[in-house]
Amino acid sequence: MNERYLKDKLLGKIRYPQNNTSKKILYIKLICSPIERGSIEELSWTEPFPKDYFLIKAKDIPGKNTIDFGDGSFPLLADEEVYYPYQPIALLVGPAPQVLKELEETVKLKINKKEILPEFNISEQEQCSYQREIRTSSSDGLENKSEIIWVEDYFEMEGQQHSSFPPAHSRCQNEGMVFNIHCITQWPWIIKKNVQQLLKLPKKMVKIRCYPCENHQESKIFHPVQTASFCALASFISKKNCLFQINPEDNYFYAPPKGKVGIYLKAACNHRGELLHLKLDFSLEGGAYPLWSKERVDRMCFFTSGVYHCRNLEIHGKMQRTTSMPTGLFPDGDLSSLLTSIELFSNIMAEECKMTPLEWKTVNLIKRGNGWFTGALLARNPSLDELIKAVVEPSDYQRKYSAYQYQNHLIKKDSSKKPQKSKGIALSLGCIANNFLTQQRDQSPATISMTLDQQGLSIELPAPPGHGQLYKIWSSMASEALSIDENNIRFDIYKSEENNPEGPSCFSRNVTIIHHQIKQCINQIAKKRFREPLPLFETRRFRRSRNWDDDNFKGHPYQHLSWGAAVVELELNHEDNSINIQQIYIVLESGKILLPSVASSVVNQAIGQSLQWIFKSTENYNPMGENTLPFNLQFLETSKEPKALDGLVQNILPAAIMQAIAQASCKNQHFLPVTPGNWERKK
Amino acid sequence: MTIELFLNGEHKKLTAQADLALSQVLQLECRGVNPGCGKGYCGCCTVLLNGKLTYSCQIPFFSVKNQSIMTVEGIQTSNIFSDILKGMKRAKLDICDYCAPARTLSFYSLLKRADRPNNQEIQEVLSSIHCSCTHIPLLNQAIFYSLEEKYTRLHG
Repeated sequence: MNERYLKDKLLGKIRYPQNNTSKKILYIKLICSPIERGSIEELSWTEPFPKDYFLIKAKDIPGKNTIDFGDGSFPLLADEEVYYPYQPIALLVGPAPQVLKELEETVKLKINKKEILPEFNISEQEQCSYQREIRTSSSDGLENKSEIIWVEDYFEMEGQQHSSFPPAHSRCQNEGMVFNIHCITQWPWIIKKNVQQLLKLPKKMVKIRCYPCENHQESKIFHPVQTASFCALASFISKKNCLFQINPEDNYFYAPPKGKVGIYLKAACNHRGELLHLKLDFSLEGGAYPLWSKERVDRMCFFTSGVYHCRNLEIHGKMQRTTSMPTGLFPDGDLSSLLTSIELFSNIMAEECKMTPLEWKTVNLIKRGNGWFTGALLARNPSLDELIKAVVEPSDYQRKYSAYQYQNHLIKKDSSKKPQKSKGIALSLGCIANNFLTQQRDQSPATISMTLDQQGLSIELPAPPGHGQLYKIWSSMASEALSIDENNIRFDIYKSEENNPEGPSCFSRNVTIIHHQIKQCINQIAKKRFREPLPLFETRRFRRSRNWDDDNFKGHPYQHLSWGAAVVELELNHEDNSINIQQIYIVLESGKILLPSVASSVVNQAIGQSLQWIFKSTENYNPMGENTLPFNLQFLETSKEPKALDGLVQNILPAAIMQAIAQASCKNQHFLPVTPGNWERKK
Repeated sequence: MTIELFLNGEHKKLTAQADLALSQVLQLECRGVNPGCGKGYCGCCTVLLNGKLTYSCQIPFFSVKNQSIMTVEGIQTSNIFSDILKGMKRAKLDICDYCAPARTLSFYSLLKRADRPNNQEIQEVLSSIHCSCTHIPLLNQAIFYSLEEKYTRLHG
């Protein structure tokens, strides 16, 4: 790396939207709803505002007062009714943040309370924003057979909250009614589209400048749209530059909540433990304005049986509207909740079939050639056997599992022998897929263009990649193939005037799709070079596979699936219910690892996130450093192509920890987070 | 409220609301202070308060009267900063733009107080900033290289 650039970076000279302030810039303060639901009666102010200070309401918006994601929308500013606490109602704009705080006190807001929507409940049917029902077979023939073992259970997961930074500050520079919006986003196209609609402006008058965005941004793809729209609106009305800076009290903008998930499972197994029929009924909490309902519900439907083979399914999934903040879209969709439940349920099924969890899993694992219920065949071997071997042997899983089970058996026989501490060990499996399931034109596409001219190679990306190190990988790849100095390779993000609809840079699209497109473009340019005159131009556009029928749920939507396995051993102190994790073994099959150090740090962060989700705190965990952690990580590289990694750990680790707790406490776990209150909670 | 303090060795008078967090005031003065989560989790707003690493988002502005605050701008001319720069370059460290100033300051505090820090001291410094942009062994390596640079500079 260039020493001067590194020096600037270390000294904090790399600019972010909030760094470029001037005396003439206007700040924005949100006026938000203090209550959950109601109709706005009055919005006025007791004293006249000083010069240069003003209030923007929904009625002042020149265009459409909507933030639209194609798959769900919500109003930028509440007009007549509020539907969740802290919903933005108006913007207070002025040159001094301190004065804005004082003026906020003088704004009189009168809201008549209204009845709130029912709380999240799996049996709630009325407040559904989207639902999907799939039935590949009926269980009628199995009901009366005596040799069939039926198991049913209910699980409820409270959503995780991602700690995401840097905060999504935004700044809008008004240059003769051309709006340059500076923001940290991984989805510039959606910002451009929404600002155009909001201000009724042509394409050319809105320009987006993206700032570096690390993988923390994965969890909040819609927040920058809101903050950028606030800025653009204030800038349009005031005709000045505006900055929207998130304050610590604007908790919602820091970390979007992930809603609750309720899952009911009912399964039939034969005496050999083979899964014959599976019924899944689930409900997702979408908040007041459910976003990506279809994507989230369908994604869960697709992975109904997790990593196990079962073609006889009855699925009913829905998204429920509640009186809470809109929930976000996370890199794993909501798969972590579903796969955790399936793994917990598989333990219960194994127990009913009088098998060990490992035996049950081995019998039911999905294998190459097995068909999905959508009609597609699994073309590549998922190497789940290898994964199991790689975690079971070093952790001595089988011996320890039997020993702890025997201990539990003795305790059940004579409860007076209950020791102060007991141990548990568990194995879990999971998978993840990249990219969107939907075929909507502005969510799944991604275009890469590359130009080779006398100045060097210029690569235009549709959005900033999830990790800064990817630039390094791509530039060294191009440098090697085209014999160009790395300093002559530059990356432009979302620069073209006429941009196509492009999806966000999440769901591991950087390494699975963009990387592949860049590779193809480089190869094409290498072929054309020295045969055609400069400049050479090459472009690649990714679109959702035609093998997938979105509406009828037929075919296979994913190019690659990543697989993972984890074994967790822990000790439970019955006196104070404290949990001491003793060993974590994780093996991931996520294709070619482009940069091992980055992959390890992504996993490291995911472990912290998982533990935060399970225990609602990170007190017993230091996320820094493998040396201080009891975890062993291994990557199995069975494919030459890079595959998805984000969210994979969240899909396997919570299940393993919860199962280990279940063994140590002799109580099946049904609720997340794992707190003493939830242990005793009745289903 | 106007408060007198020593910012990067200079005597300064800063005016701001008393209840603001120190990070919110400092970000207007110094570009090396990046307010992150605002809850003392991420560590991006780390400063040296009287020589000790502190999350400035957790310190109210009124409480720093007459205290000495050092941000990354205050160390840019020091020899230790050039040791860190060389060490990071040797380790081929590519940390993210957002945590880089805080990370540098944390390295500085370690190198300043110890010639041969033990593992616990290093882990303490590394765990003060929760950014996952870089693999921990790489950061460890950068610290060792920086210590080596410091040793070479002092002892030839």
